[in-house]
Amino acid sequence: MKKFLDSVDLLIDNTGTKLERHNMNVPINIVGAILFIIIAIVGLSLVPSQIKLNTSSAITARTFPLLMLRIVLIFSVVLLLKDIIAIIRKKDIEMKEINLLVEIRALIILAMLILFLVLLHFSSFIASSIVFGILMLFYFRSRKLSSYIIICSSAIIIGFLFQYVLKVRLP
Amino acid sequence: MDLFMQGSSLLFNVPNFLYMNLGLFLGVIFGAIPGLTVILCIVLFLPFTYTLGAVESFMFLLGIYCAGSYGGSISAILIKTPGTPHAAATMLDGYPLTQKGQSMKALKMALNASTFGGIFSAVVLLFFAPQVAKFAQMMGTPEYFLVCAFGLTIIAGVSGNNLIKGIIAGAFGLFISTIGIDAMSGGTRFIFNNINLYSGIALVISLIGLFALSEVLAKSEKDVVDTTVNKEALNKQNCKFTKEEKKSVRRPMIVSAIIGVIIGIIPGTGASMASFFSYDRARAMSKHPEEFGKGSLEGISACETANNAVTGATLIPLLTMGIPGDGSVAIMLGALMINGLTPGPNLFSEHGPIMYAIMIGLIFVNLFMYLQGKVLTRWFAKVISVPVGLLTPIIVMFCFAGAFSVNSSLFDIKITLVFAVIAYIMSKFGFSTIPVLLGLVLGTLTEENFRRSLVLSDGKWDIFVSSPICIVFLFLITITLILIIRSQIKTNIIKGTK
Repeated sequence: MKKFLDSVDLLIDNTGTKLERHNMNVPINIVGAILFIIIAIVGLSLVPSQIKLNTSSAITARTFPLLMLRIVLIFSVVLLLKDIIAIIRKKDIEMKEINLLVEIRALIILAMLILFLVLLHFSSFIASSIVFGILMLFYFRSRKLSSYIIICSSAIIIGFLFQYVLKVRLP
Repeated sequence: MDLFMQGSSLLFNVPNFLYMNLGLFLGVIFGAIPGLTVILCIVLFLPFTYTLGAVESFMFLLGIYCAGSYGGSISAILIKTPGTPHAAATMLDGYPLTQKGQSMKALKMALNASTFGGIFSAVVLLFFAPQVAKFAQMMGTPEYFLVCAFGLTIIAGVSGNNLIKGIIAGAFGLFISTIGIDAMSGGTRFIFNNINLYSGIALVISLIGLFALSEVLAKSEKDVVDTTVNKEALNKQNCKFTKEEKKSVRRPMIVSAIIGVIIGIIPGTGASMASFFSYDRARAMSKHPEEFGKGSLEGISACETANNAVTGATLIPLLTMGIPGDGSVAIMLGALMINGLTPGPNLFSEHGPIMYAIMIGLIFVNLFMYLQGKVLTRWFAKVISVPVGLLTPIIVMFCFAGAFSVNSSLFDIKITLVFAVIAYIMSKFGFSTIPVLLGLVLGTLTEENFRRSLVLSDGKWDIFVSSPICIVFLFLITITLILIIRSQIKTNIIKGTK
């Protein structure tokens, strides 16, 4: 078993080393601004269908969300233009190094969180938590038996705490 | 005096003190362990307050808030890793003392100073807040909208390093707060025919996603810090102060308490600014400035007094006008709303006894923090060695159970995951999530006052310049914006010259 885990660790380490070399410099203000411009445009286009009006008053349920979406749009455009002008003037803009390994790790954690949610549809909170906890410990490469015992007992304690102390009916 | 007595009788109940101590215990642990934050602790345990009364909830949350402030100093002193950002100044002198084998002395000083700062600010809160509340009661809907706008402007400006990004994030939070049934017209907004979105997105659900689960995702990039503490050395230490040492810290503690309170009252400034500013002042006043940075007790006492003096002071704008000074306090504002207390000028007139119970309670929060620290400091010092890898799955379990507990619905867990992804992406592109939080907390109040004002004036915007208080707040917003822009231009110039 130990040999198998060691070989898995080695494989992960080798893959990790390869991925760690893949970096990408991203102009964060430009990409962030574009993301929010898209959000604002989608939001603005959805307003007529998502907020139905039954009054002819000037101040309606649409007023505030429209104002907020316009603020998001205007300031995102300003943020975008600021960096575009800086590029034209050949000035430095804010860049951030995005590492492929880090993003893959985040995706793995997100996948485990989604798996936890899926498990909750089919089994109890305590059972799902135990499975999720063990997976997370694998992710953090914990080999201590005590860690696994702590995680399993924590799942049981949290489950009972919510169900019997806080009277929450967990899945 | 009548309200004071009523507040006292509300406070002096066994459950209040039990929850207060539980909050303190959790706050120190979350503050002390690097990688865990006070905001995370408040968010995780917010669902527990659903079944509690207003005073019990607030004692619990204040316990976490105040003890977290002290807890951050433990890891700063012992392993040179501040558990909270404002403990960074404490680290400058705390860790050198650990290297000299005097870590217990440093920890004891941090505890004494934190307690003094906390009690000082609690007393200031007790005397000042009712006076500010009287002034706040003169405000109408346009004034109150501008107060919300002022709070949002400050938070947008000081969270992160870019005002434009702060404004975008704040407006985005305000927009999200409009999802669900519109309280004024009764119509639905952005629910996409999903029954689960009818009542909007509960604050706790969004908070768990924004501040707890996003931290779990961020574990993908954080390096593991060495959190090993020399436990044997800790047990053997003598931590008695000499007469000279006691005398030397008196003045910096008093000055720092005043600095902490003044900075704390200004929304958006925060404990980090207070502790560094006090540290600087203490060094300037000291007879031994050369000892600063090499293990000065004066340095530790100044930072810790100041960052805990902020705790009570931030509650002044929160309880009197509904302006939260930082992220943790914004969540506490949410806790008030969960208990049916609408933050704002009428809070003192409508719920005076509860407000007094909270303010008197803050004094006891600090006293019990001292007692817990006295008894448990050695144990707390060992807690920081708990690996974050072990805590992460437990945090997720709490998050999922907490999100589910709001409406007994798995849909809410999906929403928390969406918010976690949003927060993760935002942080990648340099957007702070604190303005989003404030937008979510103040959203309903801001919109309500904005629309009511415009309805009152038949859609004319000049209602927002119709009274002296409005003009004062508009002036404050303008000044704030100018100061923030100026400081960001300065920072950019400094970066450019480097």
